[in-house]
Amino acid sequence: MTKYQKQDISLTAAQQLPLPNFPKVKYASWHLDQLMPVQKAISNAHFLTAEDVGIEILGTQAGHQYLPQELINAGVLVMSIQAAKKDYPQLVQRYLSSVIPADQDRLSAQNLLQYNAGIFVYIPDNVVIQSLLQLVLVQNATTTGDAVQRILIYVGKNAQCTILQQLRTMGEATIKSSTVIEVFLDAGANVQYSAIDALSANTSGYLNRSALLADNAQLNWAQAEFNRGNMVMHLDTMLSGQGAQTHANVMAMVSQKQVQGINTRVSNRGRHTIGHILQRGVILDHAALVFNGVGNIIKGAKGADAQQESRILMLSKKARGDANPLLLIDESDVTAGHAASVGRMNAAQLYYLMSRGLCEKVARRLVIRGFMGPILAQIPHQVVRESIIEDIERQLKDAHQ
Amino acid sequence: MLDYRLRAFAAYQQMPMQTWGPDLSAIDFDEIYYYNKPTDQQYRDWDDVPIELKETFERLGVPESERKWLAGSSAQYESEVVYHRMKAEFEKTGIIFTDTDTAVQKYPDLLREYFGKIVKPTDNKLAALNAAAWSGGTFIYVPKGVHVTTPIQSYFRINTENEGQFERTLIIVDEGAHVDYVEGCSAPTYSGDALHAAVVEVIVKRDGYCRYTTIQNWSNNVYSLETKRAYALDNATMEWVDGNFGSKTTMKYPAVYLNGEGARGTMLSIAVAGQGVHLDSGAKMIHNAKNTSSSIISKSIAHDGGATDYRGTVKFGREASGAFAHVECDTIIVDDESSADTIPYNEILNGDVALEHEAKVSRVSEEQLYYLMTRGISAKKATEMIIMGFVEPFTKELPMEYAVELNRLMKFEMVGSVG
Repeated sequence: MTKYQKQDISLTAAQQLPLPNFPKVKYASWHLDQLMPVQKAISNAHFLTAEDVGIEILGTQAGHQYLPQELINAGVLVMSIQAAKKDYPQLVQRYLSSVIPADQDRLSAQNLLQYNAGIFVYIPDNVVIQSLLQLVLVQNATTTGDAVQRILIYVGKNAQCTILQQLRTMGEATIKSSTVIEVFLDAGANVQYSAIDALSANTSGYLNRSALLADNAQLNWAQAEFNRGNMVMHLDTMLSGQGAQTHANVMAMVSQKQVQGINTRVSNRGRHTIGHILQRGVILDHAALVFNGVGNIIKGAKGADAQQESRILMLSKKARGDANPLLLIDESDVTAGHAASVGRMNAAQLYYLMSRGLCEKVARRLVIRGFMGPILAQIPHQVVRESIIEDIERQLKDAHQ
Repeated sequence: MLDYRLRAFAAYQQMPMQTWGPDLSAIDFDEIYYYNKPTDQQYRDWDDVPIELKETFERLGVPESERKWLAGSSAQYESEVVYHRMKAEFEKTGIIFTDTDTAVQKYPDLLREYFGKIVKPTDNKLAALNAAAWSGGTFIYVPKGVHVTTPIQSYFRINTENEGQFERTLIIVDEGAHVDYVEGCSAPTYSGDALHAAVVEVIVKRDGYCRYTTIQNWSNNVYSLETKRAYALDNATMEWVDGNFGSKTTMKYPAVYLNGEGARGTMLSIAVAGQGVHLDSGAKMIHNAKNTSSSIISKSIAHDGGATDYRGTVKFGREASGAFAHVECDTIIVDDESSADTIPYNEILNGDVALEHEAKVSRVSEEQLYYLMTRGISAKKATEMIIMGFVEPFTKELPMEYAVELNRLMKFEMVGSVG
């Protein structure tokens, strides 16, 4: 197993750590470092139904929870993080903070100290899960109280699975959200990880989703960011083992007055590692979206490949969009590149569709869907793709166009 | 002016040193000589210039160019301009080309109107220091509609240990005027570190055109920390052409504020960093008006443990409808000891704009290398050819003798580092 550093941290020490750095995003006034984690259980929510494999956490309590018998027999664990701490304390202890060091930044450290809900997934070596594994966190905004949640996923050697993780809100109260997700892929593991984050307009939050990959592990991210409030998000992938690969696909849509800052970082540490970042953003109304992509090749990572592409579509004159593609290269025997573009809707495409008899509204939607296409194509399940398209449509309808 | 210097010094003392970018903590500001006077008077004729200064310039090729075809040539040796001359026909058209110290005395009205307006002393700590301690530099005024067809040149040279050079350049291109300005910089090696903290201000008025070409070849103990900024008004064009070799640390991000409708700004740069050299350079294009356009093309080569960073900003303000920007930064990392970072910020506050950005970091392409070698060319020669091809978009924009000099510098830089 790859070596990792681990240490405990006190609340006072945590408060002295620096805030995570989101270039070009001012978020200090959101006070994300002052959390009051008093979430309650929600009695009736239903993002998952009877035949879905996975778990749903409603506020602080597990709701729907189902795992086929053969997976249970194979030693797969999918449970609330509280239950895991009680039943499998050593496993949780072993992997907690193995991806995100306890003292990395103030917000992640505070999450570690204050989380009161979450999910633990353990997939033993060589286990292949065929069905879609769903992990749903529903934040309770029916009353005030901040949501502080954590997901911890360990995927054993040569194990395989497809995950769909969702972040949702119930209720309209103004709350803060802190979600930290650690994904540990052991040698040869192969994971397809799709995420739909759709927190409410009254939620401002911090999300840190980080993965560490051992030798030859492969992780494909497909993230759909449909949060309606102010969010800062880290997607961090450390290619520690040689030959590890990741494709970090991110799409985001922002509208009204929201601000969203997304740092997508891939660190090539091992030799012959491959990290590709692909981002698409659509901005409506007065909203602001900042993509900070970082490809970081660390000294010694010979034969590494770091590529990134970020494109932003501005659908309003009042919108603000930043695409900052950074490359930090300490090794010569590598290939690295980035491309970014920001622009308005392609008029030629729009007129073409309209000349075929489509009204402008439908034509615009098709162009937007086409723009998101390269990311949508990365999402493996039809159901998930449709659910994302629904989210896009909903947000377009709500925007003041 | 004294009052201005004192206020700037007060600002300098209050401002913190910037913390981003390369490490500057090794600069000892108390150790620097803020003014060196090399000769007693200025010379109008080349024959009057002392022989040892002349030899230095002779080696740099300055007088030859002047004699042959250059519009004018001015050289700053240490803190003052010692030799300076304009061809008579240009003087007739009303072009002013002098050192900034003289300009303060002879053209106070022009100075008062523009000096320190584009780069304010409070802009950054080193700009404040320059505003307080400046001496030398070039002042150019091109009157309305006047075209200077051949380049105007200056040469800056640091020749004393622990020297600080704080030249101040101001170029005013009036409506419809056209100017092409070329400057070279160099310094021999001394054990004490030298500081070059220049401020350059350029204003290009309506329909004007200015190209500002810089080739810097500092020795490896010079900190070159510069603030270069231009305003381009309606339909004006500002072009920066920037070649960086040597220095210990360079921080330089020439900017164009596209303040008038239809203004254009371009930046074409190369940076070559060898052992002990950290070049942190880039460009800023600030689109503040409708239908403005900009282009940044940056080429860097890091070898023998050198570090090249591209750090740039493209910003589209709220008023920049119909604006367009293109950014391209390519880097070659020659060996394992070298590193290169690309840190571009693209900030867009207007939905009606277009931005394209591309960057690539790689080593010398093996395919190209093998191809040339199969044609019987040695590995060393082949690498040189590939690198020359890589920087060609830059060299072809230079005046001929600078292109020749650049090619020579490139070869000199790369000796022993490749092949």
